[in-house]
Amino acid sequence: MPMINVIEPGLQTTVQDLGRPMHQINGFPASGAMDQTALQVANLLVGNSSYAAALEFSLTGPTLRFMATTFIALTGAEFNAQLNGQPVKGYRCLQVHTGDILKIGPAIRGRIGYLAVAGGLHLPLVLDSRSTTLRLKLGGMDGRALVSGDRLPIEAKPTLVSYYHRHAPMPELPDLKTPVKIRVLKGPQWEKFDEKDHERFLSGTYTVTNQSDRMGYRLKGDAMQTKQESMLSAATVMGGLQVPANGEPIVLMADRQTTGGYPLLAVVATADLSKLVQCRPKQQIKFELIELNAAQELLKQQQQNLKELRHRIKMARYQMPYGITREASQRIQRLFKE
Amino acid sequence: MDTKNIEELINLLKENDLTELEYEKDDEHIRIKRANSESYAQPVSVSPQHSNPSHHIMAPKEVVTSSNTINAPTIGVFYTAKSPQDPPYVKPGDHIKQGDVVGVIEAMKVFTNVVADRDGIVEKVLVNNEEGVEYDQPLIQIK
Amino acid sequence: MTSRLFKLNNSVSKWPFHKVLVANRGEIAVRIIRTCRVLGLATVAVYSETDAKSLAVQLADQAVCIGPDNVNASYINIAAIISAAQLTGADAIHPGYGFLSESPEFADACLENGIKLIGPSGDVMRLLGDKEQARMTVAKAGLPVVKGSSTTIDNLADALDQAQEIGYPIMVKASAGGGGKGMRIVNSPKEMAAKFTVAQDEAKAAFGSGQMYLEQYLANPRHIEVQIAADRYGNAIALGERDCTIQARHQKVMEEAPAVVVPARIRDEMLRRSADAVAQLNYEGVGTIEFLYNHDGSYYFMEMNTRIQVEHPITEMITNVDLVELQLRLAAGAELEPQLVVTHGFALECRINAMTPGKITGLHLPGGQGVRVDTAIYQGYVVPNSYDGMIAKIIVYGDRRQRVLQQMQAIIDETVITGIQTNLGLLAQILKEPSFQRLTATVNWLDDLQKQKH
Repeated sequence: MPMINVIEPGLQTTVQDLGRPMHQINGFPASGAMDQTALQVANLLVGNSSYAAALEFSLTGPTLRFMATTFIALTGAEFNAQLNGQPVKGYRCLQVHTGDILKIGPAIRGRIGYLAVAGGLHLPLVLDSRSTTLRLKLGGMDGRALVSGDRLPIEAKPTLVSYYHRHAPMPELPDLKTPVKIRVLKGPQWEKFDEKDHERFLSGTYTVTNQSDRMGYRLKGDAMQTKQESMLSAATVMGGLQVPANGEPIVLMADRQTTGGYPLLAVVATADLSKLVQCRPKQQIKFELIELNAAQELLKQQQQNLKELRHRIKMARYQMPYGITREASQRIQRLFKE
Repeated sequence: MDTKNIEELINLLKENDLTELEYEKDDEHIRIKRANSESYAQPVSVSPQHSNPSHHIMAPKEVVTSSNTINAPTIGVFYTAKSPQDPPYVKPGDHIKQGDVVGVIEAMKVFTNVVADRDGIVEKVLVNNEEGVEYDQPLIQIK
Repeated sequence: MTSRLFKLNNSVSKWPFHKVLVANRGEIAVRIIRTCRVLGLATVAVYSETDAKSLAVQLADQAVCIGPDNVNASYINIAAIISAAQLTGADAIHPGYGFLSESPEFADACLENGIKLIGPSGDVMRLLGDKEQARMTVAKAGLPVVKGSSTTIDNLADALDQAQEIGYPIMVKASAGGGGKGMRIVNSPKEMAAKFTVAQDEAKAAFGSGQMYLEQYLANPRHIEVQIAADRYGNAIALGERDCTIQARHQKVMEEAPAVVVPARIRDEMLRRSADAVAQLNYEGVGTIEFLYNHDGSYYFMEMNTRIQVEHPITEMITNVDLVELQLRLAAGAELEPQLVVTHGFALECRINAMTPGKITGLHLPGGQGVRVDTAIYQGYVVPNSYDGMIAKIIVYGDRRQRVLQQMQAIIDETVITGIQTNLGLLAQILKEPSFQRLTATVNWLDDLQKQKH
């Protein structure tokens, strides 16, 4: 089976897909991609199903050598990636050949990047997913982050329809100079906090601290003052804003515990999750409260965009140029390349 | 052989409507050929069985060293003069100006003037009268 | 073998012509010259300046430049072509397809100048070139025609009356021109008022005439055509049929023979009726009758082409007849033996189009059992942007359609033409489409895919 050889693993590179949310009921963290939209776009660009496994990396991406002819796409944060020393862009499908080396390097903007490969990463399913839950050493590549020398099984894919049309617009990434606006809904324990806290929360500026990882992002800013009563542990959600004893909110992320005993003041609107996830330490955030139906509209719009991208790529099969659809001719063509 | 014999041979030729007569004896060898006085103005009969009635020979394409030529604006038969009675349009040494007519080409009874596109002195006329030329073939070399 | 079609095979030395001028370019010029060479006929290629380095020019015994790039001054310049024939002593002209091949004026000019045109007479071309006349003529000769208005129409009331008789859906068309202008599909009497007016206005603007006619509209037909040949003694035969349904903007992309969608009984009837109709037409040469075929088995005459067609190789493969040779023999006065031409196996042709002009930097053409490539390109050839973009035809022949499709897929996968953009990728995809494989496509299918109406 052909492989991707890991030359440099990057900062924290793990295998992720859309997670195992159906197993939260059994106490397993949902895990999966932090920026689910970016992962879905990456898979779409290489012709994969949404459930295919890809690589997720944080702040610094890996250097990889491909041992097969296939197609890749880089999404999420912005990188100065190079393929065989030549700069390549994100948010577009690229063909790679046996021996090609992709160097992703540090993120210029944003935080979390994804590399999807056509056919997905062929790792075993664990509890219906190939996602990695690091602290449980579960799933993905033996339950751990990648190290140099790792080999990831893939399949050879010499053709891909609509190849030249497989590109998507890069979303707006947070920039450290400008505070980012994140829309939230009232959380299940919103009413447990007094009016002053609501005001503090919605008018304050919060900063992502260094204590931010796949379990949660700790924020620094105006602390909530309301004295907390003890609470029965309840289920947690991705983007839930938990308020611990010191009053400074933590946004719960993919590897969070499935239940939590701290009150959930607010929940980040799903449509804004990607934006929040891409915030690096020192990024300033301001929260805006919206209603449920407004949040649903935003989510619908996001899903509609994805649907349209899928449709556009599918229809482009019959638009010029006609994709990379013939196999033997590519090899024979090499004879003329002198 | 004396002239009387030659006259006899000539009469022999005429009476029998021959075109050519050859006589050989010992080391005498005479050949008498009738001059073709009917070479012009044959009535042209158009019928599908015959090949093209006016079979003009294509002018051989001369190796032209100069790029200073006036070329054929169309394929056809090149005439160096307006009619067999007229003098040729140009001859070597003539001074010509842009716009002067230097020849004419006929294709299917349509006559197209060959017009000089620049001033100059005629060096050489590269194609003979009534020879076939193809499109853009060099006709007149000028300097 | 082509000779088995004839009562007697006169040797070429007894033919009334011996030097053929090929009034065309590209692959068909090469095709014609090849057969002439085999038969021992001298060849003359005429070319525009742009085509000085073309294959046909090198292959022919003689070559004459007849004009500049613009076809009006070269390939469709009757005076230049006749002149070239006279100057080279050519006694026959083969017009190929397109250009002057269906020009009655050209046919007349050849006749007047004592040159044998390989094709029918100018009168026949005139008759069959006029759509209305053609329909009336073939209807009288026994072919079903699309129902249409009996007269031209210039007002709404007449349109409604005639449409009532013909039936809906119906096409309103401009009498004076085509190309989509002045054309509307009307589905019911209610729509007629608005659409007739719009179409008529468009026709007036485009062609200067508001004369319209009505034609029964067939929503999703397949395009089936019959290859015919006729001699000057009134004998006509049919050499099988072709299915040319895969089209983009009315241009054929792929063709196959025989037409497997047509049941045997109907196919035999189409062939027989076509041959019978042509026998009544005073036709000489080869030609093609095009039909629109509905899945219910009904078919209607669309038009007749009085020349050899691009897709002729697939008929050649299944009948084992050299159609160019057939044309030449018929033009030389050979008499056909009336017969039913039996076809064997199945053939598929893909047209390779250059989507951009440019120099071909790398060329690898396929081969193997049953593979034929008709082309005039070579490595280093510069494809001009002035003429039709078709640069090659790849034909695969085999016993059955399924095997031929698989082979064509492998062939298209292998072919390399670099330096220009081609439609090879598109052909690769069409071959994989279920609609194509299962023969459920119609003449609008490819257009719909490309317009994203999937």
